[in-house]
Amino acid sequence: MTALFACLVLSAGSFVEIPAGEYNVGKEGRLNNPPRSVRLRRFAIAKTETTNDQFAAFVRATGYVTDAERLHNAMVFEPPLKEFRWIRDGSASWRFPNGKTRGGIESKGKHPVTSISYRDALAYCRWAKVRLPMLDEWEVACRAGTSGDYFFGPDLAQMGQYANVWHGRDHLEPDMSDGYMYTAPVASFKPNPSGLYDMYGNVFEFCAGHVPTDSSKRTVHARGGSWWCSKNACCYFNSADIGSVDIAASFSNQGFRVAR
Amino acid sequence: MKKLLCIAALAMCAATILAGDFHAYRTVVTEPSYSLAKVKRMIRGIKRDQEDNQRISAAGFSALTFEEKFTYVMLHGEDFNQNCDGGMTIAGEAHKIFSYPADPFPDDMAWSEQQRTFLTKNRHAVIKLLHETISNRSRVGANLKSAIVELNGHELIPDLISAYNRDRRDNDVLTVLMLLMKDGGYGPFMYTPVYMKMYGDEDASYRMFLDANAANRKLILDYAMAYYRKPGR
Repeated sequence: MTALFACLVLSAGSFVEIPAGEYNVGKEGRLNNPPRSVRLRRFAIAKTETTNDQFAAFVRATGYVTDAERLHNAMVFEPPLKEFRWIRDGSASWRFPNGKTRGGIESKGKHPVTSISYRDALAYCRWAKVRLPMLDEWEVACRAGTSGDYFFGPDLAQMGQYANVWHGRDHLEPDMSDGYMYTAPVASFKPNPSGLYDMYGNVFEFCAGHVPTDSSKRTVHARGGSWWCSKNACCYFNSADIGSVDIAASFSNQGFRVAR
Repeated sequence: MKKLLCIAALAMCAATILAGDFHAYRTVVTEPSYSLAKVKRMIRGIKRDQEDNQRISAAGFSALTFEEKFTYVMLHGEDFNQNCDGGMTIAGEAHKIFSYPADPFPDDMAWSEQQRTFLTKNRHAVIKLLHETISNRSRVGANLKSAIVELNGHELIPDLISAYNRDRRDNDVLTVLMLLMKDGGYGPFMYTPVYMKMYGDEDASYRMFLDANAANRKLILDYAMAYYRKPGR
């Protein structure tokens, strides 16, 4: 029964195949992602980020309780906040990504699931018989054969066509200029050349693997930036940067896409 | 040819190690002396907490003496953080002055609301302890720098400049001086090309940096001292 649920949630057409081969990844000057060539086996990566509907199917099937529901330690956002500031909200979880007072996900089934931890993402993957992409796999899929910072070329002004990001100068005022302050439904923006949606923005996507400056086993990584990221703060909506976070942390801009 | 390649590879390894070392140097914290052993024991206890909540209770925090609270806040961030601020993993850190200093805590942690409230509500007394700690220790660690920025601690400009003159590798001290001038709205500095590049331009971001050359260092130090001497600062 569980396997049937998982199959329904993740059909074959929802993945893009990436052929085996040698790929260039990294960027000059990045200690955690220096330029290099990597050899990858063939893999498939989901076209979209994992949605609330998909995560709900997992929770219904397993009764799983997320870290944020158990530990009441989710970090949420509501303007005005200084740059890089988040609010700890014990009521927040994937069902109420920015806390109960800021609304639930009743009409957000197609939005990416957020306010989940890396461990929660792994639990979903075990159930769905998929896995998180490795850091290099994510980058190869994102680049889709391109070599610059962005798969659409060097003009950052085009970001708004491809990604749900923050367009305000800071986070003291809400930014709804692209229609969304928080997450957008997956695939609301243009895909990359391989047909993958929201590789930049919407949610930071957990990836498996470690980087040279990791100082603790608790550190895990995520890529692609999120709805929170602006060109003035964070700017991780690109093909090269690798963010980090604690393994038990649940943020309302943190989600994942799966691979197999 | 093989020899040359080996030498080049060794040089690259050495450069990477040095870059990593300097990153570690930037993130060193300064340990205040107040009840240090007791507070470190307490923090070790929190870190063993299997429930992953990295904090003491409000009652536990309240029971600490003022100095113990200061030491605790300087050594331990209670809330999760996301590390996605630009300068942290950039190569060549030793030769750059960044627009924001390195984060104070390892493992992607940050101060909680309880901790920030302690700092801001007790600003005057905390500034005094920061002054004492900078005087007693050899450098201004990443934790003290963050506290000075959090409190807009312009009173500590002479302490910062003295610390910088003791260790001119610590360019994050210059960063703190720039932030104090920015947050204090110091007009003369805000008209400089340095300010425009680091904070003023539409595209200015957390990734911005200056070359740590003599001219940039002198400009920042001179403006900071002038700001400190400004009547009514």
